[in-house]
Amino acid sequence: MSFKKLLLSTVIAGTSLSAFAAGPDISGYFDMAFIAPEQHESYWRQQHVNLLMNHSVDKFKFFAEVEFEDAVDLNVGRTPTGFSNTSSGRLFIERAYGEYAIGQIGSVRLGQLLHASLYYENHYPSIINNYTDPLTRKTIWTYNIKGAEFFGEKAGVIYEAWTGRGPVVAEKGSSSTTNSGVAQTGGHESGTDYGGKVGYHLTGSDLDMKVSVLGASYNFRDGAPKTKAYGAELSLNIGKFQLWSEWAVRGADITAAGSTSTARQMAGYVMGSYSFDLGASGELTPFIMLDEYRKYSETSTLQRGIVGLAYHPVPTITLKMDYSKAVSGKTNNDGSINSKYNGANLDKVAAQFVYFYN
Amino acid sequence: MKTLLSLCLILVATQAFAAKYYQGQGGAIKEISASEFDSCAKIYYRNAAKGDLAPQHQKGVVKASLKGELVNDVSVVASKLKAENGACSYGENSEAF
Repeated sequence: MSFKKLLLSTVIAGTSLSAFAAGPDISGYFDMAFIAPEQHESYWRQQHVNLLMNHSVDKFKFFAEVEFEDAVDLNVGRTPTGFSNTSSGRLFIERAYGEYAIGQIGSVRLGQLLHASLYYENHYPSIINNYTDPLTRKTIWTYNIKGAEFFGEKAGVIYEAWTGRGPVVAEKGSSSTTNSGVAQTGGHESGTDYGGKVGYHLTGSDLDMKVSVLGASYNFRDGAPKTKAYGAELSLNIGKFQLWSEWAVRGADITAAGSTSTARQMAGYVMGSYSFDLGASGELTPFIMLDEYRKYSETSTLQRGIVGLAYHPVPTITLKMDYSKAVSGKTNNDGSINSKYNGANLDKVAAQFVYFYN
Repeated sequence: MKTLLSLCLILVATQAFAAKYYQGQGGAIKEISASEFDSCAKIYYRNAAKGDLAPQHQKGVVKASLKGELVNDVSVVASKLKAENGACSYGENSEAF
């Protein structure tokens, strides 16, 4: 075969393969933020470089999300005198699961899963309008779970059940700071937790509404306390208008001896937005959010307001800015500062650039 | 020969950017127009041919990618369309069900 024929055959073969091969989809996002808290110095944060992998065959599916957080610098190794670790940032698997579709009744997932509440399921910077997370985030629900879930929707009825273990969300252990501006706590892993969700999904010509109730039982390992959490959520889309709301309560941790070790907590938010279609210039979405957090061992309920704008020049690019301010509940009746507000970056202006690739 | 090679390369480029739209109807799959695609009961997004999509569907691809809801295998798309009346998907020009 001459070189020209070989080249031609290769091109034709490549054409055919590119049309029918189903390799994994690779996508993800990058973001960069500037945060100016009222009570601290402003700073830049390169929070996410994110890699999503997706593949499906027959009734099976694989999905994974690898996250490089806060400009990861892994610098771990042996030195002449021992072992050094001067790493910064975080490299972790946020989600990784295998999924199997069981006919029309639903699907089963096994792996590292996100809790199936409204904000966790949609918290990705490219598709939410806010930079500042609501106070519910990493406060009430254990946010990710190593385990199994079954979920589905039939005749508008939403159902989900899960079991597994995840990081304990309670006021103990190590801490880190999230976009909500609050130092979060947690650390050790729980025992076998379980929970579920039941709701209804209503759709119309310009309407999409989901309303659900959720519950979870957290059973911490090795004689550590256990607790329960309950909540409700609503997502409503009417044309370009969107309303989200979630409210949840997490009970006090109950020790094996029957005493309580952590106070009961409640958190919730309501967020409304409207998207303006700017034609070839993209889409502009102003939003307003009101959120609150209460720890029942304190007398004040912290309440906060957030206003902001998200602009999509094209669907894959997001520019956003928001202003958040605690409006009440900063101090308790005895004059002490509410523990959720104390030292946190709740009052701030934040701006973020997000680039989604696929 | 050079002309033939150029034609093949043009074909590759055309295939990568042209999209076709499909809808499931009573277990069969039919090709529909881009405007009909906008009024589908349910849409299964693929990552293929995204350059051709309207902004609302490009937004849908972003959302589906982030939520792990993309369907990247043609045979999986076909089985979903056959099972769900009124559901739609799109694919590259060379795809046929």
